[in-house]
Amino acid sequence: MERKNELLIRAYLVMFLFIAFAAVIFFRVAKISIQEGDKWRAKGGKNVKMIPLKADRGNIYADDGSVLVMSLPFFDIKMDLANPKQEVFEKGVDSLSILLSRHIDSSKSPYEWRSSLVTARVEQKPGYRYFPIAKDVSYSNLVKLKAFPIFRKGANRGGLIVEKKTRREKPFKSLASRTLGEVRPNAPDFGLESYFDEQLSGPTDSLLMKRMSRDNWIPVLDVSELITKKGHDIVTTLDVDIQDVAQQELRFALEKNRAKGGTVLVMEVKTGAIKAVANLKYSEKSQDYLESYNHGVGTLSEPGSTFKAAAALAMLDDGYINLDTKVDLQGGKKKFYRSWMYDSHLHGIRETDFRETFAISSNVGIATLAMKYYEAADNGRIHFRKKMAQFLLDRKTGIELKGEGKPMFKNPTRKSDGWSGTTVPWMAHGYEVNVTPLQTLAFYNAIANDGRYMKPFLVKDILDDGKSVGSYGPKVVKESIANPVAIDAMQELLREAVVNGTGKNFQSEDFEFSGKTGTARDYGGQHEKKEYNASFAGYFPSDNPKYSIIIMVYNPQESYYGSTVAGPVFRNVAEKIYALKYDHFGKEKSLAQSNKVKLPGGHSGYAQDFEKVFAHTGIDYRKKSGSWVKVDPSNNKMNIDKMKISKREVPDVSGMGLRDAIYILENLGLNVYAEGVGKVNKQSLRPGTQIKGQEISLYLN
Amino acid sequence: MTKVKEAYYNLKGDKVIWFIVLLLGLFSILAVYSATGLAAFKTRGGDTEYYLFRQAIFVFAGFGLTYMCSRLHYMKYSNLAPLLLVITIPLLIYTICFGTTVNDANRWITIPFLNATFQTSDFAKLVLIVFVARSLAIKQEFIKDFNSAFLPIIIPIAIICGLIAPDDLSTAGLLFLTCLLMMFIGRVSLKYVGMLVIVGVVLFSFLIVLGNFFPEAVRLETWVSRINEWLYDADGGFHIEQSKIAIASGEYFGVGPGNSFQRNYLPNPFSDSIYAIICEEYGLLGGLFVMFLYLWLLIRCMRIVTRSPRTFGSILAIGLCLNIVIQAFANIAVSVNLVPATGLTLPLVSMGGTSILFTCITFGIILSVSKFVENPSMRQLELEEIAEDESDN
Repeated sequence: MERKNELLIRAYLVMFLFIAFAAVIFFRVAKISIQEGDKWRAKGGKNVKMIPLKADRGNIYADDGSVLVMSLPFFDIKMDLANPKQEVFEKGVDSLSILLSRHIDSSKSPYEWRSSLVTARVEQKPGYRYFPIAKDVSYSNLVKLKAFPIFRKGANRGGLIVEKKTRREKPFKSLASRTLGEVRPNAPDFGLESYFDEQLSGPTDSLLMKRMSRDNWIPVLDVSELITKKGHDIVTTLDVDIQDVAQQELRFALEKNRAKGGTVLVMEVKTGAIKAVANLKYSEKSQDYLESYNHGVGTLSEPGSTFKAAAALAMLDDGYINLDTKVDLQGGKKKFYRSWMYDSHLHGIRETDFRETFAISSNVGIATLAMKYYEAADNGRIHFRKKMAQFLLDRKTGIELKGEGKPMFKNPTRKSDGWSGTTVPWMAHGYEVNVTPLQTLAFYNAIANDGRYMKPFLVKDILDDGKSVGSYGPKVVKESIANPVAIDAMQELLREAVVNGTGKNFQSEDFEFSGKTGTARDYGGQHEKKEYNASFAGYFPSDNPKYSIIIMVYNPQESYYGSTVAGPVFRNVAEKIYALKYDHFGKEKSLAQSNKVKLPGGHSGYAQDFEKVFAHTGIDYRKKSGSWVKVDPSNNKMNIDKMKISKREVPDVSGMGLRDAIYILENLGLNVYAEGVGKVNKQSLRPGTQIKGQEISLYLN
Repeated sequence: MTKVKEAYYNLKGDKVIWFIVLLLGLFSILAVYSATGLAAFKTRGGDTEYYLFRQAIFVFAGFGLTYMCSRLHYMKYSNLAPLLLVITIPLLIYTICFGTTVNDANRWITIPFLNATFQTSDFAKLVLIVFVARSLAIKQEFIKDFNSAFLPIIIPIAIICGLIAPDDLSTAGLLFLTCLLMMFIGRVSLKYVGMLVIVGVVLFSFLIVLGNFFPEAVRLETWVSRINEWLYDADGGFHIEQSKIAIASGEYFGVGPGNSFQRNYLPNPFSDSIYAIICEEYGLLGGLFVMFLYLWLLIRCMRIVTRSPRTFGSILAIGLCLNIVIQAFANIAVSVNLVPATGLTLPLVSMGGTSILFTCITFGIILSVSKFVENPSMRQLELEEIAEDESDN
């Protein structure tokens, strides 16, 4: 028992020791909670706060997955000079200064860096706990910077303060930039960025900040290591190649005709998917055409002759006329009530059939018929107006962009709208009515699609971390806008208009297309001179159409007819799409085999692209390995030669497309600035120059 | 006897200890319920129910383990101890070399096939305590002797603690202290125990000096800075300050379950800093109650020590109990800045995985000992066995 007693005594001793320790803890807790309570409670929540942390904004993709818009993170670096311990600071400041001067900001010498750091730390002037090191540091530089002496100790012991920002980047630069849009502080938002702002923004996170001084708050945790949520990605229907073609051809036409601006819209007939939205507007300031306004979606104007299709389809659908209906064109001029109406020129034709009337785009002819059936008849005006509603021309298409123009139609029953005796004949050829190019295109697309009206749409899918959220895609708005006989006749009229009518001079040798020119006098606004808008709306190929396209050129100077200004743009765009999307058209005869093509030379680019092109066009080629190549023709064969690309020297990118050139050069760490359109003609850094992250300018033509 | 009756019969360990275990488990689920309201968990795409679910599973699985371990006769643990101790040593070496890194320390190893990780030190701790209790009990006759009693006991302690120390100094220190107290209670000569205390202090000071000279050494930097912060920063660093704000915010009755605000600012709010959150949500009274639960556990174990017929049972129960209580007090003391940051969790309450299971096993063994104290017939059985054992000798 003695043993047991000794054991028990010792054990109780230990227990009392613990009870005593518990008492100490108890008093400590009570002291903090009661005696010092007010002090601590007052501190709570004051020196720390949660601020909203925006998620990384989602990307916008083209239909093939190429990135159209993405978020690049970059960082502002500050330093809390009070944080590093004296020995850490002393030991690291020399090498830190050298590294900062070498990698981050070389405008300050290592000595200057060192003295500014040391002085700020020693003198403790205001802001020394928030000392600016660098702005706009890229992620790769941040990684380097975090390995620097002192900084590698982290936020608390190294004093490194990282603030994250993001920049929106468009890898294809101006390509469809107005449609892609922008979200800006202090200015109106526009484009897809604006329409889908909520989805792209994603959920807001919260970030814990601590107070450094009165108004300085810094994140408690290292921001660059936080896994932030990402906003949704948006997959558009835009096709990079078609968009590129549309933009190039539009620019070419605008420059040639010295126009005020213009738009090209390309839509897929079967689905209503918008494949390209090119918009250019002349800017006096920069003396150039810029993607600064979305004419295609936002600009309302009197459409002119392209609208004749609406009047014609109305009369065809009502069974008033057919293609052989006779009409007197009166030689090209006629008086309606007190106003004279003229055709584009005095052709002298009297009685002819409706087929020819439409093909030569006779204002008098279509106005005479419309007058007869909709102005003279009882309730004709109301019926005519209802026809426009039946074709869905009087409403917005509902495209996923803000600022779509609302069509303006007069209401025959409302006095203040001023529906007069001349309204029907003038509406029949596209005046006293306002629509946007997109609305006209959607109507033409329905005709091409055998009467089925598809909703024009830009967004194919919205992805949350690769998973689709919600359903997006083709939507049928109306199964049939008119009876099949009328649609057939309408298709025939549009085909005739190109083959034998106003489109005769800009037909394609590769395929047949259908459409209608338009030349509208612009009565809106105050002009010193007469202003016209030239347009062409149509689709191709005529049999089994794939794409519908509208071209609108505002105030061209050299020539102002739809047939000379807009028509050729249609043909060029259509031909290029035909070449690009050969697989869509079941094409058999290759362009090269038809022996009309001169072999091009002096191009460089991505090897697989060339091989694909040559294989499909049937051009013989010889190849050597390498992913980036130069091609040159010889003996009716194309030679693909390997391009030399070293990591240390600037390569020769002449002859390359801008996309390829940017890809190569940015990957080598160069900052690329580009001017002009087409292929690279000149580059500011000579090939072979040492790469040190410089800027390089490319001139294209 | 039906199964249920049998279970109840076997449950007749100390019911108060059972009650404490259940209450602590309940607190841990409440605490993790609070975790689901954490801004960081909510907004950082965390699947909050997952943590609640996971904690509940571990706690209930732990209760099951406690029951199973309490059913086993505690002498079985004694017999297993030497073999397990031999296994522990290579396991610890393996951990040092190939362990998974969590929070800068290689404390974890992955069990093959199961793909679960556990902290090797949790296992080693348990085995060493059982082994020391066994050795102390066996050597009671000549316990004051140096060569035959003291050395054979201290050498395994030194090896195991030494192997844990490089990665997890706090746990090693805690274990060493537990063993020291066990030796003290187990009647080891005060001379040698005092000597050990001196050696411990000298070793510790030496490590601090070493840490100041070679700051890049394994993890030394971390705890040297912890100690410095504690020594020189009167109000503690940012985190201690946040912890004090939490304790003060709770006032007497707390802000209510799930309403903690400071959880957003405290580091590891549901493991290292959980006591501050409990004080904030359940007030000064809630905080004291949790501390009292551990103290109550100690008092109940003293009852076992007093009444247990076998020395092994006494020392085993008090050793395991002390290990839990020291860890609990160490965790709480950090929250009120009494000791420097240790990284130790609040046993059973902190959010955790396998460590909860090991704590539950510990409780199970204590309950197994208590069974023979509580039940008069079993106590009688025990006394007879001891008489037999002694007649064998």
